Amino acid sequence: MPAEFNQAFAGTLLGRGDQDLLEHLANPAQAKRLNVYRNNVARGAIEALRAAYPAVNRIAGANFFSPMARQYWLDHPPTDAPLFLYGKGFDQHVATYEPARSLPYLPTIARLDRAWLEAHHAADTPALNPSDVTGMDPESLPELRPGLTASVQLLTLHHSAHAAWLANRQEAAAEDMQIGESAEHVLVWRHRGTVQSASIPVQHFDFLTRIARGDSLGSAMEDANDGGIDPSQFFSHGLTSGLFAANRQSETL
Amino acid sequence: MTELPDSAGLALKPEHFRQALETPAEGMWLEVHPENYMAPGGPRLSWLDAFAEKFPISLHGVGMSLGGMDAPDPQHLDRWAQLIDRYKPAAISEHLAWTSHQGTHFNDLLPVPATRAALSRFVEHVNIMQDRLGRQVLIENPSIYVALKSEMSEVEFLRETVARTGCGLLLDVNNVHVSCHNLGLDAIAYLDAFPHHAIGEIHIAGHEEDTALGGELLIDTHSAPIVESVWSLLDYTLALTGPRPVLIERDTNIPTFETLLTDHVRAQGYIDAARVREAAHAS
Repeated sequence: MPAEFNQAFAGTLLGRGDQDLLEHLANPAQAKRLNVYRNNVARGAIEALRAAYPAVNRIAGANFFSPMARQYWLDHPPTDAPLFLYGKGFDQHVATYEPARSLPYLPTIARLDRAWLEAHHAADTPALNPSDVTGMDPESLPELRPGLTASVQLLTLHHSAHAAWLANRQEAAAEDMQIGESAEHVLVWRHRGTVQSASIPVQHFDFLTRIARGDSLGSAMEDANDGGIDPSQFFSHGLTSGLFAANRQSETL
Repeated sequence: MTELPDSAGLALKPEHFRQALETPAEGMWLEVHPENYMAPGGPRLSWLDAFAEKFPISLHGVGMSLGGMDAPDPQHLDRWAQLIDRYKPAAISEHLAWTSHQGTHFNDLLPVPATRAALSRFVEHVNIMQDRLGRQVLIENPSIYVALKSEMSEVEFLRETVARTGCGLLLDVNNVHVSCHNLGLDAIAYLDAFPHHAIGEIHIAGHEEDTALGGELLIDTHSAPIVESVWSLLDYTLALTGPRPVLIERDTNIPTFETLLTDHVRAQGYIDAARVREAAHAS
């Protein structure tokens, strides 16, 4: 019966044995060939994860990465046909994967790789341009609630690993792994088709967090001023970097 | 049958985006897996916009799981529809295979037993896909590694699917070579029996021997150069069908774009020869 066939085949692929599938084979002596399907399926998932987490792969090494990814796949097989966003929560898997305990910053690296991936594939939302702002009534600017463009990712990291991560995204070997124990705030976003990232002061991080949740420019800036920084320069830098969304015009409370 | 030109095309890889876009467009067409473009946004979609401006595009699905127990995923069909709307493909295709079961996706083209029950289900799923997308789908014959208990041949299964759904077929000549080798069948007999009138597209690719079992088992890896016997089968096929769109597939161990263009020129030569033969036959 086909129902049993697919069920039995799925079991074989997930490492639950061939016994149920054997009766569906024309020649049970070919059972060893089922390894082809098993290997293809496992390798497909592992390689998708390797492509999604290149810095983790580079830092941990390919031989370390493969069994770690294989275990993630067994625990969380893909639930959708497109694989390019497969691996959500891989950082948590890394954090609890016993052999990775000696690399406590590895989950942080995984979070950065994931942020890069999500920024890369995020929707193409139009950005607010500097000319949009200069054309605006200065009185209404504080009322603007621009929000952030869809690709913007704001991360608070447990380790200051941004520079090390960035170096390990490159082809050149990064020998000098400078990873600090202190927290770090990182911004990852896509601008003109290319993913960018920056380590930013906590005040800028808080400012962007407020804009992201829909606060007005005026109130976010006021808070930043209270925090002892002048956010207007950061705002104008963010404008030229395409951080702010163009689709949310000024709304009053 | 499709709007693809009867010429040679290439499977498009991100590694070759820039060079492919600068290729002279004469007769060239490109094929992609739609699953790789089902993102909310990003540069890959913009690249495909640029390609679709210049070349006929074929969307070749690997994730619909038409041969599975579960009906096609409506969300996946919606994403297909969005891509068709955006890129206006000249052809769309899927496989005689299954890739998911009860929500778990295996992302491999898994074999379908050629039974009457599996055929009814497959026909139903192809109909759902064609109805939702409002156009004909080409169905590709798979590479098979293990013989399953069956009630008919693969060719009969495909012929019956064509008759009951009005779908077209995508004949993968390398898969014929690989499957026939693995199952002890005759590739020429397979090609002779294949419903030639339904072939809307042809694929050729490279394969490798299984690392564990050696020459007993060939694997459709798309990672190696196309072997001479597959080129011969292509020539044989085109003699049966007349000129058809022929795609060069290479998915891993990707060579330079120039190397792929060499294969492209060679495939075009076989198509041209088929055209000459057809003209000679007609006159």
